[in-house]
Amino acid sequence: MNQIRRAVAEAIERSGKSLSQVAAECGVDKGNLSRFLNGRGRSALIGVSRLEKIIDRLGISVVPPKYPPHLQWLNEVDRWYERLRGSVRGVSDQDLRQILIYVVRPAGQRIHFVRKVGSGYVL
Amino acid sequence: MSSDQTAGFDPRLDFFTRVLEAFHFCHLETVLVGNAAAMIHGAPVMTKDADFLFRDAPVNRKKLKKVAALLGVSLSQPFMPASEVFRMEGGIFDVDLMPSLPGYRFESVRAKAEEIDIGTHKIKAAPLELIIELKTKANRPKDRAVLPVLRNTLKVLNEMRKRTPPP
Repeated sequence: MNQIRRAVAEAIERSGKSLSQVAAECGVDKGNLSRFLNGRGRSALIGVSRLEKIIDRLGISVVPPKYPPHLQWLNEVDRWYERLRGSVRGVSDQDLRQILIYVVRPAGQRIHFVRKVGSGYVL
Repeated sequence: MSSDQTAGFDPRLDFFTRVLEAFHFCHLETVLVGNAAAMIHGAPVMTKDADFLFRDAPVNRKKLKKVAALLGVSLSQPFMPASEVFRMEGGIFDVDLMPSLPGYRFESVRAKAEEIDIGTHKIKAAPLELIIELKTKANRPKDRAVLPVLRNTLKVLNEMRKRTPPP
């Protein structure tokens, strides 16, 4: 919810409109909108349909995160991949991505011991 | 997830953590080396055992026995006289403890070691440059097989360090 509050607050600022104007345009009580943005007070929540009006009116685009919460570190992999792609001599893009996935992940998740099964190995 | 993992429990990671706890409990200072150390640095490799370096002294050899007893594993030197490596067998994977590496004593490896936080413990691991150097010198088929990915990992790490502002 804090992310939505931030997005709405930033969009209001960018629009150059006052809180009263936005509230009036969206059919929302100004005090309610103010309490929603501050996240405080008895009615710091806003109904979904009103929130939808505010989002539409202010042109806010709601984009779901690319990765689930426990894989958020993959965002850093993406950032490093874009920065390093083509600039590490002798390392192909495919190898770069694979290495970054191991290097960037939390150190506790880098440990993979295999065990011998028959003539091969399994994780 | 392998067949013996349930609800995120990894018996191999659990045993590795117990090995580190046993070292800590017995005040045995070690440095992780080999492929396990390369893995900790982020090289996309796997390993079937863990290799550690320790300072060879009578008191530490006694501590090895205590560590083995705590872990419920056997301790032996199966490769004598060719190698003084101590091997702990009977756990989820073997743990090798060596008193030295070719051309390097414990103190010099410890001085170069990097401390890496794996969440449950902080491990001292030999730097990737040293692991590459040792594998290049050893020149066994399994070392040659893994060297390209280690070298590429080091290149990527160096490039990342160049571009990361110091704290």
